[in-house]
Amino acid sequence: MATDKQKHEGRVKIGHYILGDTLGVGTFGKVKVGQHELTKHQVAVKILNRQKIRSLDVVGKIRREIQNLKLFRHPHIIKLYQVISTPTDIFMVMEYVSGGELFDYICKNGKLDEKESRRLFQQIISAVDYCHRHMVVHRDLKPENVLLDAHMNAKIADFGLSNMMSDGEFLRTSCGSPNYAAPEVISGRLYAGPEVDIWSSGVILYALLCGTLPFDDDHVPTLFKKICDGIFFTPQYLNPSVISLLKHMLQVDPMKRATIKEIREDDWFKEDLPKYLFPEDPSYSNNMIDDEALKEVCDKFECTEEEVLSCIYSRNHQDPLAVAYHLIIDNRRIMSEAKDFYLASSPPDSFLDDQHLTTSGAAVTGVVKPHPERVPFLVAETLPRPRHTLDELNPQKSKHQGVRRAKWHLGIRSQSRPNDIMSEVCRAMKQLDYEWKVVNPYYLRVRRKNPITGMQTKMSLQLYQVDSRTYLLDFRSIDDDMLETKSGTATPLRSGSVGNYRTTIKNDVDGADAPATSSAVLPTKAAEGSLASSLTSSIDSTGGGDNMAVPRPGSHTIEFFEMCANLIKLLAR
Amino acid sequence: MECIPAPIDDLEGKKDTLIEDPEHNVYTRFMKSHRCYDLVPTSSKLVVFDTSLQVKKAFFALVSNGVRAAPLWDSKKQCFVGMLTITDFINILHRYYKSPLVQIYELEEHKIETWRELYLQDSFKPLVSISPNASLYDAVSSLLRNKIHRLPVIDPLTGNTLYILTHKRILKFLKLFISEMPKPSFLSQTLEELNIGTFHKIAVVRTDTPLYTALGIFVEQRVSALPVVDDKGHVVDIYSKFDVINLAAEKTYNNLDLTVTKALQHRSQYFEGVLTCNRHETLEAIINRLVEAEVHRLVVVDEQEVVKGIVSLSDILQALVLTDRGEGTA
Repeated sequence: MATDKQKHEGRVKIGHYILGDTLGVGTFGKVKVGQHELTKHQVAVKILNRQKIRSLDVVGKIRREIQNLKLFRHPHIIKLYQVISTPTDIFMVMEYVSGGELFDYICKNGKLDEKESRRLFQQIISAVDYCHRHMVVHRDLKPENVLLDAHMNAKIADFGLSNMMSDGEFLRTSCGSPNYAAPEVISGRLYAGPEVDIWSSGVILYALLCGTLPFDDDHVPTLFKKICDGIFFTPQYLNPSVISLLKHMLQVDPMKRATIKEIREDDWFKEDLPKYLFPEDPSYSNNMIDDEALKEVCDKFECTEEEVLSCIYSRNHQDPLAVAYHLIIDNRRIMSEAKDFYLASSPPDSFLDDQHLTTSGAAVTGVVKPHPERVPFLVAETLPRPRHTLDELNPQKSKHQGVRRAKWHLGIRSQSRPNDIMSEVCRAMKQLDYEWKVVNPYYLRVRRKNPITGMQTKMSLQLYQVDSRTYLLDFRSIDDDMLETKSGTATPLRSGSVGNYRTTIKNDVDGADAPATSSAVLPTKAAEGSLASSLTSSIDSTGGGDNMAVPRPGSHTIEFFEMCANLIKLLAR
Repeated sequence: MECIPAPIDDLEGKKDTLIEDPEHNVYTRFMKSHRCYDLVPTSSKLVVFDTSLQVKKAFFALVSNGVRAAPLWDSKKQCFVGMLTITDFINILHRYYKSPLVQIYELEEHKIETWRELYLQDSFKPLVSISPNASLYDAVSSLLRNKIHRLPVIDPLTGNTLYILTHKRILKFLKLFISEMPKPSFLSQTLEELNIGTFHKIAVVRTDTPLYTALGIFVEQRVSALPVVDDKGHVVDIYSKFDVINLAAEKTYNNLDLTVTKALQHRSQYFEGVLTCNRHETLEAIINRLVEAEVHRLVVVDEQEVVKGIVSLSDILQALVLTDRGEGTA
């Protein structure tokens, strides 16, 4: 595995995330915690070995399915931020929650009271319903896949992943934990529709209420028999109305099993049901085409509007393009309805995540105000004061509003064989007098001594697979001199007032209607305190060593760009 | 995010907080106790040009990237050598323009380095920049002393340019905290009492002044904006250096004989009128207006809307930060 080979380099980096401890080993591979190198934003990174994935189909259908998972946005589903693939592995960068697995929680704390069980169960059903409506079946739902956030809310992980596994592989692995598997799954039938998730949800509800599993036995054949008989013990303390729900969900015959619709109509389920979990039914039959959503699909899938429209019009709801279109519309609606919820339950630094901001569109911008000078200059901050941007001034651009923006890659795309690409690159680097070290065949560390400044400029090259035939050689600047110094005290620390700068602006702009959540109010208070302290702090000179006396000649970033440019120029010849 | 205010290494060497009056030079102390790093945004766009790039392409790149200035990188010397701003565009247009019928060869053909050699001749000066660890007080001093509007923040550890600092950004930063600081009495005094702003030889243009003449005033008088006045001296519009970049955006720089009014037509739908003030308004009111409107200057007018002067962000920073009001207040 590529990651193993990179280990002796000290730390493994995926995207901008530095991989840390292993959080767990799931059905599909290891999950490690990742921390953004600059923002320290934490994520979970799932590492999938390519050999375990349907090798023939990693391209078209699967790629679109993963692309769709990135669009999934539900308060109780772990968000998938990014998918990075290398020739050996696929890395899925996902939302990290701090509460651990529901399974561990139940093991440690025993059963939950009825009210709390219902609250979590409602959240789980809401998430399952969301996925089913978007044509994705989990197939491997179990308390290990239900995670908890810091506020004891359920977050379902691994939705849609089972579809990526070859059928044989899936069945083999799912037999590792058959307690939650529906009868038709263990009896080896390949078809697994939405009913299997209902069964598993029933098992989870039972586990919540009783602290034990409805079907359990050390002897696997006996366990299989118990599941297929569908008979389970119901403790005395269970509320009779919940017993009937459990029995309805744990029906051996999938045809007789409860549907989501029936669960939602169940009296026990309906009690204390928060409104945001089941928003008004989206109008799939709506004939109006949402242009914005359409454009977003074209952008994300690099396809034409006609392709998407033909899927929508032919009611081909399973097609990834149609699914994406409906997801985008849904996201916008959920975001506006569950806005308060997001504010209260999302990790406080989640706004640092770009994906979160960009994909969820307009609704979010109402929640998180962008930094005033981060927006392109002269763009109005508030709507009543429209101003022009230079882009608008540019007649070339404004005339072609619909034209897709050029995408920039710092790297080389190639359809040659991976080994040929790498040897071509090495030949060019030799010509340019670069030195390099092979970390693994697709990952090189390169350096060049700048003849003018005498400084070493370092970068790494990593080959990624984009689709079945295309590879992307990615260039990355390595800044280890800087990192060493950074770990010391010489780092310019942001004064406290600036950490809160954003918040202060936000309140300034929002004025009276600033959201009254604890997360928004606290930093403001801190800002008041920090101003006073920072006003006085200047006198308390620490006398810290001033090792900034000699500035570094040149510019690390620009030298890196020049290094890339020279290599690209030579390879393009 | 670190939330602990980092002490600054005795930037000024003076421990002037021994003075008990909390109002005393409060803004100077504020600027001395914050670093340039403190107002660098977490993420922003920075465009760098290699000096071998053609000037024309560089100006188009400013427009299409929505930035107003770019640091210049000399790949032969392997260092940053200067900044390219709208002022360079104005200087090129003014120096080489002949008539609407003649294409400006120098604009079409020159590289940035060629232009700089011709323009700077023997007066090559090293790039004025600042370290992120320097105080905001140093930044304000540098902006005002060097009479520049764009101050690149260069990290001494990496040599990278991190951000381009402006008056606007600094005043905005100050404004965020101004309500939390003791309010010095001079904020309630008027422009006239404090003698802030320029009131002599105010450069203005008329509605029918040719663009070329306006550019000449920018070049010779080194002002950043020209109030446009009618026959009675009433202010009706303002033409600023920034408006000139529109010539690049619309590729209309080949005709500089058209009038200022015509040149300003492009922004008619966005323009909200000239932002003005009078000499009897308080400094506080002026600061609020400047920051809120995000403009660089206000035109000072009398009761008849006749132009009397200009008050700019430079004037305000000079007054707030670099003027010692030790005895003046209280």
